[in-house]
Amino acid sequence: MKRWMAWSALAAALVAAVLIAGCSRDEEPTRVAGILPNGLTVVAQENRSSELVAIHVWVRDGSIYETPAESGLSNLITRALLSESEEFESGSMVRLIESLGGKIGAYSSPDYSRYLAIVPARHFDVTLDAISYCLLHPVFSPELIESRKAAIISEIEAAGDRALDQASSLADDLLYEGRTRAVPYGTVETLSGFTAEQVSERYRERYVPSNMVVSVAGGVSPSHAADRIEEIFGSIDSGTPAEPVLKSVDWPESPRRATAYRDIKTSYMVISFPAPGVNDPEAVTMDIVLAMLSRRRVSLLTRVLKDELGLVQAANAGWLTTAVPSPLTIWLELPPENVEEAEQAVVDIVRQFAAEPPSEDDVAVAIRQMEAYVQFGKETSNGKASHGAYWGTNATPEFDETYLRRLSEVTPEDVRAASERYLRPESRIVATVLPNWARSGRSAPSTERRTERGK
Amino acid sequence: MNRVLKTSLVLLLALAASTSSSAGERLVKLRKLDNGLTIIASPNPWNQIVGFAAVVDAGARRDPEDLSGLAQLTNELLGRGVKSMAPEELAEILDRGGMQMSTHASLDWATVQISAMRSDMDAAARIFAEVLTQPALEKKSLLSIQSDALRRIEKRADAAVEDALEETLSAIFADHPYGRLILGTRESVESITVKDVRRFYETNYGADGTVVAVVGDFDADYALDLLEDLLSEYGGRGSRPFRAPAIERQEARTIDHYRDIKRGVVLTGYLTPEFGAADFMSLQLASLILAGGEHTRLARAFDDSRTAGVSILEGQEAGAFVAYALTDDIEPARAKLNRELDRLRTELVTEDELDRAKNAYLVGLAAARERNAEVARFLAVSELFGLGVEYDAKLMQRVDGVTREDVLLAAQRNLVEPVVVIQRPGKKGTRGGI
Repeated sequence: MKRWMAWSALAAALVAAVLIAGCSRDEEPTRVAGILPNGLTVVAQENRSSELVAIHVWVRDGSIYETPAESGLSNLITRALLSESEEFESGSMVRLIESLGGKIGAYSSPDYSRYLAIVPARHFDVTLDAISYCLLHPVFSPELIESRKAAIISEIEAAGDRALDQASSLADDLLYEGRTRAVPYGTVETLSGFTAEQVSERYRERYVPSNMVVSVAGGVSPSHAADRIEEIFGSIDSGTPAEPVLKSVDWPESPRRATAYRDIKTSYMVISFPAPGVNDPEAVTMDIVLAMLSRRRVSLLTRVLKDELGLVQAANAGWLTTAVPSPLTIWLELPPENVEEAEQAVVDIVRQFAAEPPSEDDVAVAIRQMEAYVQFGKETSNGKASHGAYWGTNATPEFDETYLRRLSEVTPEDVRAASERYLRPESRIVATVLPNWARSGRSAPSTERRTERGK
Repeated sequence: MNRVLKTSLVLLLALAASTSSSAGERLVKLRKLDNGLTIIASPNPWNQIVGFAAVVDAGARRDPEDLSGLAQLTNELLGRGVKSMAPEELAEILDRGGMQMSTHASLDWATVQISAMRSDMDAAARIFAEVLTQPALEKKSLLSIQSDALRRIEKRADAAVEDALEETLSAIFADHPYGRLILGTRESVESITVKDVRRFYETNYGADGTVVAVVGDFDADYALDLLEDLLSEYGGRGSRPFRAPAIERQEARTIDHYRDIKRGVVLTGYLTPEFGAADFMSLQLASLILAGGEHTRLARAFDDSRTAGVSILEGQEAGAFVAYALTDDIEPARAKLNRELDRLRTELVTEDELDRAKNAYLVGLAAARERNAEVARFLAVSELFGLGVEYDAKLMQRVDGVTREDVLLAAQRNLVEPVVVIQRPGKKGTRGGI
């Protein structure tokens, strides 16, 4: 414990901050965070009202770190990693966690692979030992890799069953048109060609402490958790930090559009605009923009597009904040006859953001929304651990503690300036999936009627 | 205001799966008001979110036969405005406070929940009370949520597993209210008027059919006093025990569909006992032995935990147990499901399987209890349906007490006369009954 407390003045300040916040009744810190000498980022947080503990291990590996020929390799590792290791035969580690009643999972995203286990807090040590061992001593047998490849290929072939997913995929294709980039989760072609040797090689390159974050939250002592993590990971060579292959996006100078048709009853539209990466100084401002667009109970998008203009049945916005810039996306569900007008209405909204600063009050409400979003997200051990891992992976562990302060400093002019810089209507991507009957301007097969029985 | 406690119950409950002294006990204080309303307060000093929950005996089972979806619409409409302010004003107050409000109707009950940061507890309590007791129930808002409901009904029709699950449950419960769709049908939802909604509210929402609970970092008496101040004038509706014909087990049958989907789905469903009945816990554990992890029986049978699962309905009157599989090849998938269900009926589960299932169940409970609003809801549900606020704490004993023989007998008694629903990829509109 002494070693952790001696790390830095910042660590001490963090401890003081959470104590002042009233989270702890003891002298034991409720949060310990920092970076080991070998580059491993560690975040350990207490959640005293929980009987559980969540252990997250995140690795900077995903499609943004892949060449096109490597498409899907990181996801393949994710799907195989916890299955076999030198000590645990096939599936036995997962079986162990499940025998404790816990859950274990492995997930991919464009900029990180993450592994998590949620177990009763009393099983923290054995679970950390088990998951760490599997992460550090995997066995990628040819049989295992072929099995995982087949499962992923099957999922790829079934994908696109949802019209909204198809619209999102179309938008991605438009955005990266003409640029070689890795396809998230891979293609049938790339996956079919991967061997167990390739998987092992990539694992050795990427799964190194300088690329990893271990984040723990729950009914365990943070000091104890941090000490155990250092025991397990502290003596491993740091390795080489990963660099994204695709570091930027070439946004078009005029709108790009694509349309697909399928057997559905309503239409789905995806409109994407440029947005910064998570480490950009304006990323926090864009969180405010997003909150203003979509996080209010009656979001701006819903209020204007649905309630006032009657153009859509549903509207939402999101921004996948990744290490490299990724789009701010608006999703619409709407009757086919409204697609043009709805697109224009969205353009009018973003132009307004760029033209005039919002009111102080609007920004204050958006800040409160984001504060609540963070607090609610951290109500669970898993949420707490996830927040800690996210900031540790994409920035530094201190960002988790300073995020709300930085949010509170965003001004209306910041919002206008960021909107002007990023939400450029001329650079928008528009992907639409329409019902088959809307092809060639045909009308809907039946008109909806409502009947009222009295008032 | 006279603050003499009418009826007061103070419990120090051992949590179901306690692992540390700090999380091991929860104080629960209960107060019954003169108007019949029961209020519950349970302090949690380690969570800065305050969660309120009202659970009302106004679930979909109380829908008039030709107006399925009415309970759902009424419940949803509660959150769309109160008498003292327009819907936009209410939404604004919630947004300004960073509060989350949700409504939900199940078969048996309807809930209103509000979560807020601790600093906004009093404001959240006022909003919560007003939403519950003074909803505006206006036509304009009804039209909006009817439109949303119709859209969800259409989307449900496009989602194979959900659609097949609804069909399975309808077949299991036949004419009983549990067989109706909570969301309703297009026809029923379109025909619901604001008069219907107001009548449903007046008939089913009232102090004596409601339990309110709050969990957060506060003094329990303060919380109880706050809620009593806000809710003591809430009127009653009179005792209305739910009466419906007994649910009879239907004969085994198979329903076949072709749909425009890429993968087929097979479901096998059974009528099971109600929440809290003797076999209830055994069947819960049986479902966790079948599915819910990489090394469960269905995951091993299908080589993938993502393509097969079990869905459990927990009702006050009865339940359902539905095993399902997504598949490119219907007949082998059907055979695998049948084989695993047959094993439950003919073989004892292993000790390891039963232990794992028990641990998984308790961990699932613990995970749900990390959110104060969920703790509040569970306390309220338990109290409303006569199980008592200590039901959560007693669950561990109930779970621990289930034996391998209990699981076998429960399967033999209940996993019989299956309803099988098959959705095959292909042309729409072909339906067969076998």
